[in-house]
Amino acid sequence: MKSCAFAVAAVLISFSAHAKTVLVTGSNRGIGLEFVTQYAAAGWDVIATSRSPGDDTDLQALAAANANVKIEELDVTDLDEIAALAKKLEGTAIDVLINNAGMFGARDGQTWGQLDRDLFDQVMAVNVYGPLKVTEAFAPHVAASDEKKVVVISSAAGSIAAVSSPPGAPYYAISKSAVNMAMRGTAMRLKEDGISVGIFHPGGVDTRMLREAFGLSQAEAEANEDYDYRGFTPLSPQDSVAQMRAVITGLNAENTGSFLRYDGDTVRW
Amino acid sequence: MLRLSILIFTLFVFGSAQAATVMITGASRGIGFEFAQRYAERGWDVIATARSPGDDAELQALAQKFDNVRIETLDVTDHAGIDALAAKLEGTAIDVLINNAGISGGRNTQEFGAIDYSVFDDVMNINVLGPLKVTEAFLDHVAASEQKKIINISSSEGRLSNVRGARQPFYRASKSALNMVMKNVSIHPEVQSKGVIIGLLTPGFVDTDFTAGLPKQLMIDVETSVSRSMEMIDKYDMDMSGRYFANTGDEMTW
Repeated sequence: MKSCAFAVAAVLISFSAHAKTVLVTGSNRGIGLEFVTQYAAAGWDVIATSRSPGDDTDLQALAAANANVKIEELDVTDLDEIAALAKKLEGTAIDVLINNAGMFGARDGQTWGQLDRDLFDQVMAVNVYGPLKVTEAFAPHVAASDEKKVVVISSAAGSIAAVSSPPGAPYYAISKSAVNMAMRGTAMRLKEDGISVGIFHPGGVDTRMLREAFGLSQAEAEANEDYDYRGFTPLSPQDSVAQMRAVITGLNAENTGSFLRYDGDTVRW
Repeated sequence: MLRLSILIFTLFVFGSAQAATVMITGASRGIGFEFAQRYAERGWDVIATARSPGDDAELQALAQKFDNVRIETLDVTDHAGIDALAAKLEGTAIDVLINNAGISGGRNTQEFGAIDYSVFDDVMNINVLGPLKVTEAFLDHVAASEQKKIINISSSEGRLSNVRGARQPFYRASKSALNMVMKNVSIHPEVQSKGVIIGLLTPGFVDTDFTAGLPKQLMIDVETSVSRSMEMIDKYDMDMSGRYFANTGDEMTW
């Protein structure tokens, strides 16, 4: 009887220790989808958000196969939608909030001589304002959790110190420097609530966006999954995400607001 | 006769060397206005731009006082307007272009927990895309000048390596973004081949409308700030292009 009670207690304890929750934005492809896959496999409750999940067959299949994956619709530039989801999830503790949604932007609208203001607004909204607003809306959910971590997927393309050749896509680079600053300041504020913030460079990961960075249009990048990256060897999403998950585990009050590579090395501002 | 032609030649050279031109965006008040006034006093031709100069009594008075000050309407978020002014000024060499126009977006509007996202687009368009578009449109005017300098008024608030506190995320992000885009511009092949110098200067914590309500004892006056900036602008050379300097002369880490 006594040993049975111990067993029950052990199960309860291990169950509660495992019932962690992660929310991932832009989880329908690439790095976001891989975060969902790996956290789900690790037994976490996963709130996987995307702009139009009805179209996302990979994500739908993942949710169908994993009871712990729940899909929510979220456009990170839609303030009302963000507020509504935060309200709907009131009372749900979110251990790790991953601001992953991002866009590269068509090159045509961001090259010298062809600056497109609408494209600028769109890239800045998705890559800068979105993560800041999502973090603001979900900070109470994160503060109520055990882990208390906020992550933003930035890029070394936003490292001002590392600029050595003009980028093909200045808006993308600008947006990443800007989100680094926005989240670095926010980290100072969230420290008061015991929340740690990690700003990540995921590496050059084999995704649609990397193919866009190599000069393919979004449609070409979508279609051309076997692209050769002109001799560059990209990281696999599996490898990048596995390494970032380990670094996320180690985020704390000391390293909060740091710009970290997927393997934990510091990236220059 | 020879002596006379030497004299005429000398006058010609000095005359042309003195007729330097500066164009300043956001010249209606604060640092921008002070730049306009000081370069006018120095005898430069000043193209002072503002969004709605008809309302700017001080700037109008300055243009009345100095023949060498000319006012032009320019909203740095209006790309067609920027192109139109560049076309209007075709053939005018601009020695120093100062991308000064900027906004903070307010303070209460950027408090975490109550951030007003409606100011975001204006902060980014005025502080980041505006300077990029103006630089692009006026590159040939600057390239045609003697000094070939494009100076951007950045801020130590954009410094990622030295963040203390969470204030004004949009404003600060916009200044980090301005630093990024101007470092990019400084190594753009067209900019480099034309020999144009790209500067990033921080003005210090200056007592203007921009900083209204903040502790004055920490501030410097606008005259001091602009004196330092003008001294730095005089010194700016190709080796300093694409780097980030306080107007006191210290280089800053990003």
